[in-house]
Amino acid sequence: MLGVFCQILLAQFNLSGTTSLGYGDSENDFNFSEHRVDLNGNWNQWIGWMQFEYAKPPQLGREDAGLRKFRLEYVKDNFTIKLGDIYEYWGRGLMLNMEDDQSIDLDTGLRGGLLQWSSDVVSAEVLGGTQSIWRLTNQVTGFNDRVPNYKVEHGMVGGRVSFNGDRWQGSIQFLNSKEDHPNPITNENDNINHNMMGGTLHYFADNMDATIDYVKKDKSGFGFYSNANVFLGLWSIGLSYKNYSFATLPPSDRWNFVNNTGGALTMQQMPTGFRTHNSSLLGKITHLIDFNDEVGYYFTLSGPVFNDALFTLEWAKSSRHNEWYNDIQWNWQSRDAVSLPSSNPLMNPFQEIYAELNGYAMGQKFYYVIGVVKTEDVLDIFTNQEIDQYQSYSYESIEAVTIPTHFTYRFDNQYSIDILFEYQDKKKGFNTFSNFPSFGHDIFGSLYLKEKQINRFISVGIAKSPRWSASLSVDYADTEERAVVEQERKNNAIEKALDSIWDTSLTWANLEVVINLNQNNRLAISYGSLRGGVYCSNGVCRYIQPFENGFKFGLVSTF
Amino acid sequence: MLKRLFIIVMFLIGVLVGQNQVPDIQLKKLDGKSAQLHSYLKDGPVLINFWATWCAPCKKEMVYLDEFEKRYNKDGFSILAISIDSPKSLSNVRSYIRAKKYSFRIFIDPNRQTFKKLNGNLMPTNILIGQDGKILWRHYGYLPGNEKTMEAEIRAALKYNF
Repeated sequence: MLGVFCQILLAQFNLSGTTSLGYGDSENDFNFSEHRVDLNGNWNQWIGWMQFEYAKPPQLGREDAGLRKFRLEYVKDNFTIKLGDIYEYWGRGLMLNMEDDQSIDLDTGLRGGLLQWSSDVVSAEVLGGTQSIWRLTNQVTGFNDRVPNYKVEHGMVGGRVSFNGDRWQGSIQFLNSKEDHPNPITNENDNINHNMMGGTLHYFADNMDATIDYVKKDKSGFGFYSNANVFLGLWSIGLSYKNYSFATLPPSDRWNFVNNTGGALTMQQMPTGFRTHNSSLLGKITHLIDFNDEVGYYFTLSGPVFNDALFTLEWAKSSRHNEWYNDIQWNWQSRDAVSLPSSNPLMNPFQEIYAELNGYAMGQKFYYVIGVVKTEDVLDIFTNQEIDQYQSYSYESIEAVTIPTHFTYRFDNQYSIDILFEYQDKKKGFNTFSNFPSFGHDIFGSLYLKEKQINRFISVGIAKSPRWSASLSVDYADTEERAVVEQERKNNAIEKALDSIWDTSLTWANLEVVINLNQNNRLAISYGSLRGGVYCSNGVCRYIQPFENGFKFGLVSTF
Repeated sequence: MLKRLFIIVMFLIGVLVGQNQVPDIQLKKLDGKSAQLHSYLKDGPVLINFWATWCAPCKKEMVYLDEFEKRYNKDGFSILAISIDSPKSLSNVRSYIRAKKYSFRIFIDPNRQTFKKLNGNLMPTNILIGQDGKILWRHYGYLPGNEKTMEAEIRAALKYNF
């Protein structure tokens, strides 16, 4: 009887999932052991999801064992109910953009409930619950590159009403968040109330589309984003404008979210207004967006040029709203607010010009990507002092020209070769300027042991479809920042083999083999070293330590 | 130890009862309107392709997806290409598709909820679904030459004679 019941039940119940296992063991103790199981089930109008994790330790993040996430959804006619871990986004994310980005250990999900009613013309939803966000900071004790050490809790409630026309869509939304903010000075939690109101308007036509997203936060904070794309035949022209102003923090305190409250919340993951890079070297110099205080525009032009090759030109520019200077007591003050990005170095300007050509040739046997990128970014401002008509200031900047290329050739017998070559000429250092009498100077002091750093990233791979691929990647720098150079490292077997060709003291080599065991199981094994540095995902960056001379093993299975 | 055991048991349950039937999830179009996945199965099998503008292998593969859409659409086959670009980089999706003249349908999944519901893991992820809603073939990643395997699977789904 029980068996029959179970069979009837299981006949309507579908369960599927993925498991991913990852191990890493390196000489510099970047060891990890991660196991994750995602289970998806559906039964009539019910959809369920559970994620179990056993990570001791994970590559990034806190150790965990057991049920990590779960959600139950019920969809019937016009109603949707969700209970558990909810990930929603409203508009372009100016008010709410919940994501679980494990590559940078950022989780802005909400544990609670959502109720939605929708028709063809109108939809309305309310959500509420709690949110725990772990972040990494050196403002409190227990700093570790890999493990976040500061937790903020939010109790949230919000709602949205949307209107859908033939070509127009609009929505208005509100959100209230009560934040428990640990105060390291008093060792108590500050209770902060955040209120946001906003609206989104979206127009979609055959030859153009446009989006406007606006949010007002508390008394004076606001965020504005607009984007328009015009399509002229196969060519498109896009222009975006962003203006985020939630907190005006002095340069010395710009990233200190522990002692500054009331700015943009972590759940406000807004459009970056610049290109998302997949190049290894460009990923390390991606602009770190300041959601509290940034204004900018982003121009794109793309279209086919010859033999279906696609040409892309992009220009992104941004800065802070104000110039910063030190008053007579050396306190930071701001002035000259702008609504268009400035090139003034005392306003943290960023600029990137990106050009790329990509496409197929030789009867779709040869694929190529050739790009050239110029990046300029002022990372930090240290001083800006004025006395009468004289001025003296200093800041840290990056200037780089990067050439990312990628070539793939496919043979007739399912074999292919893949070559990735990236070159980067990078200057990073301190700029000091003064026009004080008898003290005038305009000096650049490199952060490297040389005037500039030359980086090369080469990856050579061979593959046989659909079964396996093997690739050797070599990341080379001719000089490094003093702190990196001073860390003694031992070459692995691959690097020793390359040592006869060039000095491999700043070379990180890694060999990876990926085997598709069958359509449901994929195995990846690698040996070698991976260079550390800043890793960015969509404008949010964090430092990832190097992986020195070790093995990694990964298995992804679907069932 | 108990937690490890629990994970293993859950894994085994999944293997035993997994029937590979996709739920009728809601998909979001580029223009903001919604559509149900099962509505596209009425005419024939569907290939779901998860891609992103920052994913190089996805872009390599798309030229073949377009060929298959054009070649087998008359037989009821269709491709649903779902971009997982986040709201932060969503503005480039339509431009890319327009410039490449791709003819398949485009959807967006900015917070990757559809991707996770269909057990997406690596990029690109391809899932071939039969007209009865069962998953016939799945593949992670793209290696040049994979399109031959993909086409064979599509033809099998359409019950072509080889």
